[in-house]
Amino acid sequence: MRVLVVEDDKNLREQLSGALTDAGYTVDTADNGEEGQFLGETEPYDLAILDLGLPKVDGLSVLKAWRKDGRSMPVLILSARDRWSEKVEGLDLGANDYVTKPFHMGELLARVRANVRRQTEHTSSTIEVGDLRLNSATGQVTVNGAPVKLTAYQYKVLDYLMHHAGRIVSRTELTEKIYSQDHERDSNTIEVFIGILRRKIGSNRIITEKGLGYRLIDPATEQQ
Amino acid sequence: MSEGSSKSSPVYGGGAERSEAEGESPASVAHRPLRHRASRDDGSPARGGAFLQNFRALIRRSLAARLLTIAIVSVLSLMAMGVIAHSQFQRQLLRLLIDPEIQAVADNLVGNSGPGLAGEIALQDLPYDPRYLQPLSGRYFQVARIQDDGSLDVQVISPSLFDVSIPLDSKLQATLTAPDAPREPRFIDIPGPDNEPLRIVARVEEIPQLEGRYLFLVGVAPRAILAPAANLVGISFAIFLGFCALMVAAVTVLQIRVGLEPLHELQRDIAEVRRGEHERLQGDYPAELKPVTQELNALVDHNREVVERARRHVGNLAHALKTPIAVLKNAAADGKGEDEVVRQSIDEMEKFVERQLRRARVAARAEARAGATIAYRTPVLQNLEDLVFMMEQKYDHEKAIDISVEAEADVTFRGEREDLLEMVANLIDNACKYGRNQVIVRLLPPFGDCLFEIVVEDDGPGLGAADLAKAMARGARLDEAAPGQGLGLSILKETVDLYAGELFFERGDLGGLKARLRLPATD
Repeated sequence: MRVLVVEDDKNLREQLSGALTDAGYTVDTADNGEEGQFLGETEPYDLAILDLGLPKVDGLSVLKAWRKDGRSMPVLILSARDRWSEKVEGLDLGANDYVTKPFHMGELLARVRANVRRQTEHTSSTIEVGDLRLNSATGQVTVNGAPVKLTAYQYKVLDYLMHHAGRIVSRTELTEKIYSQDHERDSNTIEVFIGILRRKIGSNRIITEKGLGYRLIDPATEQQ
Repeated sequence: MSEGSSKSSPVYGGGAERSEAEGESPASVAHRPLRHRASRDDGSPARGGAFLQNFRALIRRSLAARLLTIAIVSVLSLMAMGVIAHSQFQRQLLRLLIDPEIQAVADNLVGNSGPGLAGEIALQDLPYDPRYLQPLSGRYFQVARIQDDGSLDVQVISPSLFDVSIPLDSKLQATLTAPDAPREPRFIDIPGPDNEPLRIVARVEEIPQLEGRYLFLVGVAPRAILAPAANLVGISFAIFLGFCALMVAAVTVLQIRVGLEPLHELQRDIAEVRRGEHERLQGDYPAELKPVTQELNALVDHNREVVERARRHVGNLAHALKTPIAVLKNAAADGKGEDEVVRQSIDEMEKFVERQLRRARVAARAEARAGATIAYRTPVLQNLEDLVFMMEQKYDHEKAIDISVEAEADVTFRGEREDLLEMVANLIDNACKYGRNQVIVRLLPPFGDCLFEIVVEDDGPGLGAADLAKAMARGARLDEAAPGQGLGLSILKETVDLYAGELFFERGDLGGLKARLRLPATD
């Protein structure tokens, strides 16, 4: 998987590049906004790590240009600016995550892992269950046309459930799929995610099969 | 009594010692009178000097005293001018009244003079004016023979003179009786009997059939003319003086009240700037105060600029430090626990930078709020939802936490979006950090007062009673007491205070901490 790192600090760029390479990613780097924007527009990346304070063109402008250009790879903003309003602004512009400096490399890698696009796993980029629609190319989820904002893990849970729509998915199965590369989780983690998803897409779409697991249905066709 | 004087003695002591020291100078005997004078001078002018100094200090301290002094001095000099003009006028008037009379009487006397039985000078008729007969009436005449040695042999006096004569000082007498003295009548003001002012006419005449020269003096005391009007003049003058005093008082009060009013206005205006209600002095001031207010505004601007520059500098510095700290942190992490000291130092640096930045931010916002009357309107619900999604992302890889937003209706916050986000983010972040799986954010519309409420509740361990009390205490620095525990709480409180909001912590229904943030809503 290819990851683009746009960071002007040489040391940090090398650390990021080293850590990502060690984690098995192919890494391209740029030390200014102009070059970063060009690379992001011309090369297919699975994720971009974007510093905001960049020479020549600042990070937010680069992000805006990418999104305007139709580039939909997940973008992880890396910034020293940690005001919540700035984070929200970055997110509004289409960033997928926001990491503030200084950060733990382990945390960053976890977030990269969570955000890297999973499109390679499925040939079809759009799955629909009733009016619930998931576009794995862009990572967009809509209910009846209205976009739903999901975090990377929430997305993964829904993605898995949708790919196995109609059939029962056990908690263990979900946990293994979602957290295959991460550290151990609370036993009720999946429960929490299901709760969040129910709130976001409608509680009647995910059915709890007692003792077995969960099942995603289309409430319009499957009345119980 | 003696105690009192001994207590107050230091004040005099200096003077006494000084005069003694002077007295003990080598030529002390020769200077005895001088020393006497010196010691006396030492007393009163020193006191006078002290008075002058006090007065100067008062003038320096009090504008009112200045104005009062100016008023008193100008009125006093006006009054002095009036008195001078008045007396001048009176003198001229008296001359006009007196001179013809005494001249006529003198003519009459000269004409009536002739040799008496014993060869002395005698008057054939007394003047017709009876006032020359009444004792000490203020109208007198006197005829005296000028002796050869220049002395006077008084031969005739008016009955009004009783048994005295018109006194002449020797110098005047010498001029009048000089052999070559002119014949013309001379008008002179002298002190008369009983030392009362007297205007006289003096004529030196030779009388037919008599030897030698005779000095005729006729005098009228102004008192005799003014006496009937004296009371009247006194009363009107007293009224005039009283009026002047009243005017001084009234003018001073007016000057202080009306004249100094802009200064009070300026004071209020400056106080408002200091409290941050205005950015600069705004009042419309008199031309005389304009330079002052302009300078003050320039000072305020300059001050703000300096502070802003310093703050920007700190902010840039702190931000610039973050990248190297990130590098260090990652480098230290490679050491796999061997560099615990390094890691701790890096953590400290990180926290320090964090805190400085937040402080600078709060201060900057306080600054920005000065002046601009809060015209910001921030819809709350959408921002809450954005924020909650941010938090979901932030904790996404750490733990599964369900942050739900419950709101009946949207409200509008009377303040800046940034502040709202910063405050609420702080609370939600804390709740996510300490909560297990669930955080509830509730938005409650205002009722009663104009404060809406954001409740953030988690299902974490919560705070003990003691910590709750500490968190509730005004100005408590929970975050500084225990780093990591609710970092930024004090800054959060500062921001809440900026908006005159409220922040409470309680034990929530979910078992964890329940924070209630109350902020002003728009009407």
